[in-house]
Formats: sequence, C-alpha cells, structure tokens
Amino acid sequence: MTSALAFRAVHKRFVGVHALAGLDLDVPVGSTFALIGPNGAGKTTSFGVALGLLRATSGETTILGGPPSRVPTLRGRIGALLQDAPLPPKLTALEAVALHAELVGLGPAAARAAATEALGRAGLEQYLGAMCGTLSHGMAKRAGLAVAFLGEPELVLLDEPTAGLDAVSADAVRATLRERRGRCTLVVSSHDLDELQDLCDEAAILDRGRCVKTGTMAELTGAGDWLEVELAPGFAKDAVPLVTGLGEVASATWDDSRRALTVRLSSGAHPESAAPAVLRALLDAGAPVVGVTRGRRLARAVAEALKA
Amino acid sequence: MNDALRETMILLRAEARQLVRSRLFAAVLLVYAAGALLAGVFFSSVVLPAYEKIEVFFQQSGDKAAGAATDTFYKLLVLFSGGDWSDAARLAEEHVPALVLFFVFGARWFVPPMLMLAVPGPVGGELFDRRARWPLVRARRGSWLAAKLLAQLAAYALVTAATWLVVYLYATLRVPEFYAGPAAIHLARFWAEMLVFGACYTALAGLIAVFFQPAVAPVAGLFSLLVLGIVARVTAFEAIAWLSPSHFEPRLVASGQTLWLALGAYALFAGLLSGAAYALVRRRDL
Repeated sequence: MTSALAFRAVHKRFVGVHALAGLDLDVPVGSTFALIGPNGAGKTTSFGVALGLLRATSGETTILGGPPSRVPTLRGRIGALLQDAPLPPKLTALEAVALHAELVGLGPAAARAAATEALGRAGLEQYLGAMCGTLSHGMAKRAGLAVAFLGEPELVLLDEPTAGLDAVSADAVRATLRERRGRCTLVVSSHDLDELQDLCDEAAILDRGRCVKTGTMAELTGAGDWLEVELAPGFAKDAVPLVTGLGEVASATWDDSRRALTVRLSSGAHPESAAPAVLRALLDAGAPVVGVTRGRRLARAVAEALKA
Repeated sequence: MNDALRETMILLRAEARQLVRSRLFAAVLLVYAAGALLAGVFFSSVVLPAYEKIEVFFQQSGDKAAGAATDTFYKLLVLFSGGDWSDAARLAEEHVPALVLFFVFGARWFVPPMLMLAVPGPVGGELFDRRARWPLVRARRGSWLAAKLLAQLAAYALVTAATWLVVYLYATLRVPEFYAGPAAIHLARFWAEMLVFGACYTALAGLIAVFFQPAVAPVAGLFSLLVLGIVARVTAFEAIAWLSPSHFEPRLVASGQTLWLALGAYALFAGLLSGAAYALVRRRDL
C-alpha cells in the first residue's frame, strides 16, 4: 500500500451541485498532505466520501487499502476532525473523548485515563467536566483534535483545523500538528496557505471538484526555481533592477503590498548559489532585507493553478 | 463480545447519559409519569371506593342489579383496555384488579404519542445537525441506531415500571380488598407485553425521526398514529387492517394463542420498522 488515501474518478452530486467532478488524488503513506482550494472546491466533500459519511455517486475511493464503508471497523486506525459537526452538547468534554477512546478499543477506566491525557495535551485540563455544548469554538476544536488523535491513528483527516480560532488557539493547534507530523499520514485542509506551506510536504489543489495540480510542496512553490526576498519598509529604490542583471536571475517582480521581491532563477541556476548573489546585490545597495524564502509563497502558486 | 455489540453498548451508555440530561426528554417522561401517577392515585382513591360503595349498596338492598353493575364496570374497563367480553370474564376470574387494566388502558393510549414526541430529538437531531458524524467514523451505523432506539426503549421501560410500582404500592396500602398478589403478577406480565408494544412504536418513531427533520418529525409521528388507527379500524378490507399495529392492541389483554399472535405481530412490526430505519440511515449522507 503506497497510498493512504486514493480517489479514482470520484463523482459526488448533491441536488443541484456537482461537488466532486471526477476527483483523482493519491495521498502517500506517511506524508503530511495539504488539501487546498477555494470554497466549494470539494475539500470537505472529499473528506466525507473518504470517511464513508457521504456516498460517492461514482468512482472508487480507497482508504488504508479498503473501501470507505470499512472505516467504522478500522477503529483507531483513522482519526478525523470534522468541520461543522458539533461534539455532543450533553456530554462533558471528558465523556465525549472517553466515548471515542472506548470505541477505539479501550476499556472504560483506560478510556477515561486516555481522554484525560488527550484533553490535557490539548490544554483543556481545566474543562474536563464542562459540557461540550458550553465550550467555546476554540476549545471545542481542540477537544475535536484530541478525539482525532486518540489511539495513535495511521491516518488523520483534519478539515480546517484552525478556522475561526484566535491566534493563540491556532498556534496551539499548529504545534499539535507539527508534533504529530511524520508519526502518521496527515491530510489537512485549510484556507491558511502559509500554515499549510509551513506544515505540509505535499499538496493537491482542488477546484470545482477536481484536482488541478498536485505535487510536493517544493514542486508547487518552485523551491528550485524561485527565491522570495522580503524587505523592511523605508527602502526608496526600485529593487528589481538591482537583481535582474545577475547571471543567476531570469526575472524579478516586486509586490508592494507584501514588500517582497520574487526572483525567478535562470535555468541551471541553483538556489544555494543564487541566493547569496541576490542578497549581496541587495545588501550592497542598502536594501533592508528581513527574510529570504526558497520558492514562492504557496498562495501565488495556488492562484496561478486556479487561473490556468 | 462481538465488535458491533460492544459498540452498541458503548454508544448506549453515552446515549443514556445524554437522555438523562435532555430537558425535552425529561419533560415528556415527567408528563407521562405525573399523568399516570395522578390518574392511578385518583382511580385508586376515588373511582374504586365509589365503585365498592355502589356494589355494597346494591348487595345490602338485595338488588339483583349488584352483579350486573359489577360486571358492567369491569367489562367497560376491559373494553377500554382493548379486550372483549370473554377477556373481561376471564380477567375477572383471574382476579386481575381493575387498576391493572386501567394502567394497560392508559399505556395503550399514551405510550405511542409519548414516544412520537420523545424519540425524534435524540435520533433525528444528531443526524440532521451532523453530530452523528463523530461516532460514525468509529462505529457502525447499525450500532448507532440500535443504541439510540434501545436507550429510548429502556427509558420508557424504566419510567413505566417506576410509575406502575408506585401506584401499585399506593393501591396495596389504600384500596380495600385489593388483590395484591394477582395484581403484581399481572402488572409484571402486562409490563413485559407493553415492552414489545413499546418497541414497535419506538421503531416507528425512529423511522420517522431519520426521515423527517426534528421539528417536523413529532407532528409526522402523531399523524402516522392517526393513520394507523384509522387503518386498524377499516372493516371493509380486513386484510389492510393487519398492516397496522393498532389492529393488534385488543389482543394484548387476551390469552393463549391470541396473545402470542399479538406479541408476535408487534415484534415483527418492531423488526420491520427498525430495519427500514436502518436502511435509511445506512444509505443517507451525513
């Protein structure tokens, strides 16, 4: 099994909506995979189909080597953070998580212990006895993450794990995901592309129910062909001519809103050798460089893929 | 224990916790329990003593109408409980107290509407607001539905048992010549019968709950009871009447083969209706 999750020509039609229109996608085992796309691209639907919560109209979906209908019998091998699905409001956070720990296969006492530990890791040790219906959005999301990672699952699907969270809660969630990265296959959908670029090693861009581009994060962001240099405010000169004369540079563009210079490298140029040359040219001209990134921002790659 | 059964038990425990904390469910059960208790106490303290006095009055005056009055009172109760004249005679011979029949009569009329009001929230609510997505990543849909319906049935069974027990104890202490022994045996017997009866209507309420939005389901449930009641009383086409569980209600106070036929019919309806609910849950998108 090389794919933890695979879609082959999967269609899903709701009344008046063609949510998945022939989705083809492979999520390699062990990867941290980003699912990117605008609203209505089919991210949540593809999660629903993969988990067997939605029935595909046609096509074939394989999750951990079997059909989605097998998901409930896989117990702790799959975890999921589901968007728009509230935890049971009349159960306490501890009871809700312990319920899942029992479903994963633990006995009642062990399940309570595992749930207490999981909620502690999620920073909710003060809210073990709070009814899920009274938890704030951020707390509920963290409790949901605790549920998703119960039982050391092989595959975890996370639908917008940081959506609607304040900065502190979102950072806590990102820290949890970073900690889990590499220990299981993670599939994350989010509109925060910087977050995905930082977290994931592979990605697929969805649009109108289809996969329009897929690859490693380095391939998608052009890590071998592009450099992005961020300058502090106050530099009056035009930065573009400072680098375009360099042999390693094919072209450059300036984004005033982000104060970023995006440099496309000549064919055959290596970022390792081009980056010092570009930096030297800028620093020699007195440019206040505050950051250098290999490759472009993911948002730019996504925008281009969606335009194509 | 096999996996599906184990999941069902885990979900059943969680469901029971949620039911205990549900205000709507508590309100519906409380209304039923309070109604049954008040009616039972009223029946034991007012109706039965009044009936005794009338009977004693007729006996003292040597009036031949004494036996007729007793028979009429008793038979009316049996008839309201759904039985016929022969059932009435048999139950009188077995010393089944009137209070027991009063409870069977009450349960027969009030349990189905109570279930139609109580079941849709916990079952349909979780499906329609997508809360069911959480457990259904790790549990079979059949286990989830079974846990939901069993929790409802268990709550109904416990409330009925508690209510009947309280009124039985009250009647034992307060009603002269109350046949406590036969009453206990027959209350237990009718309670067990009413479980099968309740299972049928729980399954019907469950089927309606997975089909209609929670706001509409109770109305649809009550309407379905009305339709089933009408179908049961269709005399022109008797075969159609057999399609309604209500058709078998009179047989619940019968004995022997007739009773077993009624219980078998209710069990079959419970199986078919919960099977249909499962088929809907299994196919639906969450």
